[in-house]
Amino acid sequence: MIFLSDFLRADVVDVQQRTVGKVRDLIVRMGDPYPTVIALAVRGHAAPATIDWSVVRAWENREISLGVTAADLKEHEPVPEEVWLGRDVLDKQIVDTDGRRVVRVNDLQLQQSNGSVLLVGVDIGTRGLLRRLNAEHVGRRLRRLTGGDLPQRLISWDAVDTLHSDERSVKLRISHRKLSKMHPADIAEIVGQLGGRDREAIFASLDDEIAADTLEESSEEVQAQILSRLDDERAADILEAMSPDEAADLLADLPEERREQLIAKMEADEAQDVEELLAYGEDTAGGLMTTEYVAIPASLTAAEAIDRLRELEPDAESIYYVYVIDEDERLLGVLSLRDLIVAQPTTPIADLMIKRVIAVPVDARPEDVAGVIAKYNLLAVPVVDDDDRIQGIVTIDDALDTVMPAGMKRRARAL
Amino acid sequence: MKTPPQTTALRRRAEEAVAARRERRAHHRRFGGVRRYLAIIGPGLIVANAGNDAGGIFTYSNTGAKYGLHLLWTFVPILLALIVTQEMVARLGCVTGKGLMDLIRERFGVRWTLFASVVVIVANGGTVLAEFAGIGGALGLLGVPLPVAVLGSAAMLAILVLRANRRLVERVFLAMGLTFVSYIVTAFMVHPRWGDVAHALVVPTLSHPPLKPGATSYTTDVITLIGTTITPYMQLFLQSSIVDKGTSEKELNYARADVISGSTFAVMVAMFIVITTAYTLFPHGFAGQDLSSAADAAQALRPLAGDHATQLFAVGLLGASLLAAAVLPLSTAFVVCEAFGAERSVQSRFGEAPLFFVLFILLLLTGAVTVALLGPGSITAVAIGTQTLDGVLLPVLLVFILILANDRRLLGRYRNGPFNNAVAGVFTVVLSGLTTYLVVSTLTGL
Repeated sequence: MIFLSDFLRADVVDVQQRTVGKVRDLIVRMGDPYPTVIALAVRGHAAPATIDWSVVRAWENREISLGVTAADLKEHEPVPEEVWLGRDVLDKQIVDTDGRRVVRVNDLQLQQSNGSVLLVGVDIGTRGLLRRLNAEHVGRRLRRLTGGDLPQRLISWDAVDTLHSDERSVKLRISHRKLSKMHPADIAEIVGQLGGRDREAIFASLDDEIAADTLEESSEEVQAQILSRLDDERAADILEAMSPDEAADLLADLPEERREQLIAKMEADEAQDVEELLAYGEDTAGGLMTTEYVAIPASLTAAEAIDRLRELEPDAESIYYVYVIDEDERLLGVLSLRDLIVAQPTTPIADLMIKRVIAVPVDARPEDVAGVIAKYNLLAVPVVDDDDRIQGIVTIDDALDTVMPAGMKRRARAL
Repeated sequence: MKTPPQTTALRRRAEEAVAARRERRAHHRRFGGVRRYLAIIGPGLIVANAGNDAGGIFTYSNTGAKYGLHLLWTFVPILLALIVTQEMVARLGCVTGKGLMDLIRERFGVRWTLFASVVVIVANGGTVLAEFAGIGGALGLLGVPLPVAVLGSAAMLAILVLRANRRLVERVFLAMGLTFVSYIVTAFMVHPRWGDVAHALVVPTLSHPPLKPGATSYTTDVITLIGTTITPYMQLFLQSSIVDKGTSEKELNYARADVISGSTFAVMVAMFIVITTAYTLFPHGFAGQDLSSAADAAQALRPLAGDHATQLFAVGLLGASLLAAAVLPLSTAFVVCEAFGAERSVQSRFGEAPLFFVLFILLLLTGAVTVALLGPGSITAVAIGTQTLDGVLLPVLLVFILILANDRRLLGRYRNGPFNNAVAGVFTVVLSGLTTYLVVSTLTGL
């Protein structure tokens, strides 16, 4: 295997075997799927600062032989999308999108292919570190004493997303294309491991829906930080894309002034939902619930009810149950989506529904709500006021979050 | 998102209920507000006051007891150097969005990172040692035998840090450590001649009372004073907390104000400890010699607390030491792991983040076991000696900071100006000179 560290500080000799300098860096052109080495940066007086890779004739044992004389060497013509591997990539943090974590580049793996040299992998292991310290052999020998070998920990360049929020290395600032294809919970995990600057850069590159999902999965600190830094329009767009209960929880943690600003920028419908939810205490069923649920009058038939569902296009988390209410919004019954679909189209809803609905009051404690959901094996539980009128629903995922220790969520990553 | 038409009717009715709920919400918000404020107290303030830990308290007490007001003037250049150093670090954090060890890794590569890590581990390990000396000293004053005190505390801290709510723990310790504000009150109660204090502050002098045999040298004491006020770990933490908050270059001036006020406050507290001990201990037989026990240091609070001086001192020392002993091993393990890209999180299992846990436990245990082995007689010597080590290692970190703060690629127009370079440069050269002199004189004196 060839590594960048094999090249750095290698001697550069011309066609007459005269040493012209030492390799300072390798310059690549970013490309899909792999970047190609296009030039050498050289330290030494007898050569220009950069040399085109095309004049390299051979390289082995820390020596690079050129096919021309030192006098004929010309400065490499810089191209816009070029990147200096040692300066811009080595030792930096990157996102391993397969392993879903932030890692540091200890070395870079290169490969020869059709006469050109490609950047194919990133070494993130101890072996890469030891290689940089010229201690790879010592390390392996020590490890062999205990009957093993130091494993190579390489990840493919395919699976890498570079971070560079730094304006001064714009060339590497790509669209976080790979990152945005990950599950929002995993993006949130990665975002949590980064500094504030990288976080903002990542959120800036995600579209509203993914940004909203990622924000929902992030810790409160990250949420507050991101929302206080994004510009108002963008922050309001992301809030609208979030479910109202999550948006309300998030807004509740912001300073009042900022909260009012953001709500004012949101669409009227979403803003109203959020404001209603904000009125409930954080540690109650009211604070936990979402206002996205499906409620229909008892007078409909099964077929009419399904038609109504089509009109409403409810979100995924609110479609588990269909609630049946009277003219005063009082909860009469509940039926599952399954009940609706398997029923004869003409059957009245009133005959299908379960009349004894399990519900919780708006001021119930979150642990109790979770307890009810667990006891009755529900996917969601309706929240009612003192007059039995439905106010919202608490879904199982939100209930689970309140009773699960923070550490367990993180550990789920290792599975 | 679509909502059922039925909910529109519901809303009207809900609005009436909303007014009542608003009241409840407002209550929540008021307390939420206090919580939020606590969360955003400037990193500069917290970090600078973390300097008033066991090492700091013993060093400042010793300075006042041994030299009276003769070293007070050094606080002026020390404050200037502290502000300039912290400002560079805050600027690096704001502009790059990266931690100090991260920048060292990215700018200087693996070898220098290894070197810097060893320096940081040794300096912080020394400081952890000082904290355990503080814990041992404080609990000793309250009648707890030394091995029980330090080993018990180490076990408790390991469990608290790895398992419990660290925020809450930090606040309890921070509150205990605040008892050191009592030095300010005491300083006024002993009625110092403020004219003398002002004179000692602004007129530099190299004269000092004759040192008794066995006392540490003047050079050592100056390095120690610098090392305990401007510690290597402060720079690391300040930058990390700025990065965590995502403070940007647009907010650089807030960060600067925070650094200046935090540094000034910390140095003020330090000066009041020196003034108090200069008027309580210095005239009573401590001149020219080193404090030999925590009990002696506690006597400085007698004018304020009378016979309870020992208890007051013990509580303050215990809080400050426990806070630092809880935070230091963890953050040291964290920055080192981050620089090497190793897995790091309190929530990981041991097998997932071996380097992190090994470093954490090693720092904690080395501190506790060393103090237990050295015995109660060496509490003050350990607490102060480790600050000398901090002072000796500080120039190494300063050189890294200076190079980074001058890097055009990194900071662009935010890189160091001539004033910064002049102050930090002179400070680094003077401190390196003192350190070299100390090392050479120690070697040749043998």
